[in-house]
Amino acid sequence: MMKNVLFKVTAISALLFSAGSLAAGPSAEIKLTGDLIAPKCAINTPDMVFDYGDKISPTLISNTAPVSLGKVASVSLTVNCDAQTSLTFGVTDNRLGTASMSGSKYFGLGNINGTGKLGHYLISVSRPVVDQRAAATFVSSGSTIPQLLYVAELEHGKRSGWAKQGERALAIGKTFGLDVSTEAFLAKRGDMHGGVGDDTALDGSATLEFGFGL
Amino acid sequence: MKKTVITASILSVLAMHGAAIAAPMTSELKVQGKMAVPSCQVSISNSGVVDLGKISNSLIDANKGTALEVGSLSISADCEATTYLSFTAEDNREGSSAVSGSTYFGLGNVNGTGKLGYYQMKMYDAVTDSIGQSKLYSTPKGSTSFSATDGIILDKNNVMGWAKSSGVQSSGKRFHATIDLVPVLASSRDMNGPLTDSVKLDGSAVLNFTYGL
Repeated sequence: MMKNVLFKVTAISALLFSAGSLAAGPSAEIKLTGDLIAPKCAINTPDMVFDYGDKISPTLISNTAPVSLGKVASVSLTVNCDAQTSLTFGVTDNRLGTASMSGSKYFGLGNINGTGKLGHYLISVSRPVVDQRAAATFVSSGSTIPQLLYVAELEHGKRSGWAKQGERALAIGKTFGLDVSTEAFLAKRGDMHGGVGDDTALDGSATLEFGFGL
Repeated sequence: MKKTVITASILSVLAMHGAAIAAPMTSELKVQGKMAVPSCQVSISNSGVVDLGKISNSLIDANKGTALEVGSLSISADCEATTYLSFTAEDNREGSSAVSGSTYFGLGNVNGTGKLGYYQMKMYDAVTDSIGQSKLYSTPKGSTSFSATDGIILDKNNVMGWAKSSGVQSSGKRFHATIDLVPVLASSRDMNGPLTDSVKLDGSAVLNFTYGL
């Protein structure tokens, strides 16, 4: 008799366990959604003007070397996009060939005395930010990011943009910020091919053309 | 007096004997208890939805995937009674992952059979009310042994759950963990070409819970 009873208990206990194992419980759904769209971006600072004033003295001009007119306070460039994207820009010198130094980081300030060159300027960028977080920038002539930079001098004919910190990959975000400043130089006297009149104006112009990739 | 007493005593023995014969030869032993499958309420933060919002289609690379922002969900289960809790994962978009493997979940199709991408789900920060900080396990379906780890990647072929230590499930009334969804946008090659229109990422997975392994 006792054996019988014990057997029953065991059987019930096994049933309990097996019922427990098989019992279906609740379900929960996880969803991952998003909209892939063609982004639209707005540049908050479409015109960046770096004005060296109207009282640059021609007596600054040196016979031997370009003379710096100093850096103008930086302008914050901000671009807002309506979708998560990467952002790059190509740099064009609209006064190409008028820089008094040769090389892609020297931008022209226009001609004087015919083919004389008034000087050149450098465009430096710093504090790259993506969605309020520090990012990196770069100067690239191809489809890859050769080096991560945190302060860079833009080069005409090349692309720059926002990269991830610590990874040579484009940063992704909606808001992009960059501080831009220039340093202009007056060419040495010989490069100007003559004297400098009263109405001579520095006439540098460059275009940043924005795109989404390299 | 003495005689009378003796007689009474014999009668009494006889009576006892008779009673023993008449009674049934059985004894009943009852084992009682109610079978009740514990009921648990599972809830996921933000109703289980990770919305990546608007994503630029310019992020699509010609040949390789693009990592998108990681989304985090917190999952909890509240049970009426102390129980073990395990679950399996099912992909409602099965076959649409741009990478094959049981830990990759699909984001839906585009351009016919093109694949929009995939995501993985990483689970960590496990807690149960019985032991506090808990471990997790993930073991192939049908297996009865497992090792306990701090984090698992949800696997369609596995049974997963809360563990106390290797081979020992963690029982409790309340279970908690964090799940990170790690999405990757497929290359335009995997999407069967460029997108001509706006497209929605449409990942959907189900976690089916059971009480026990």
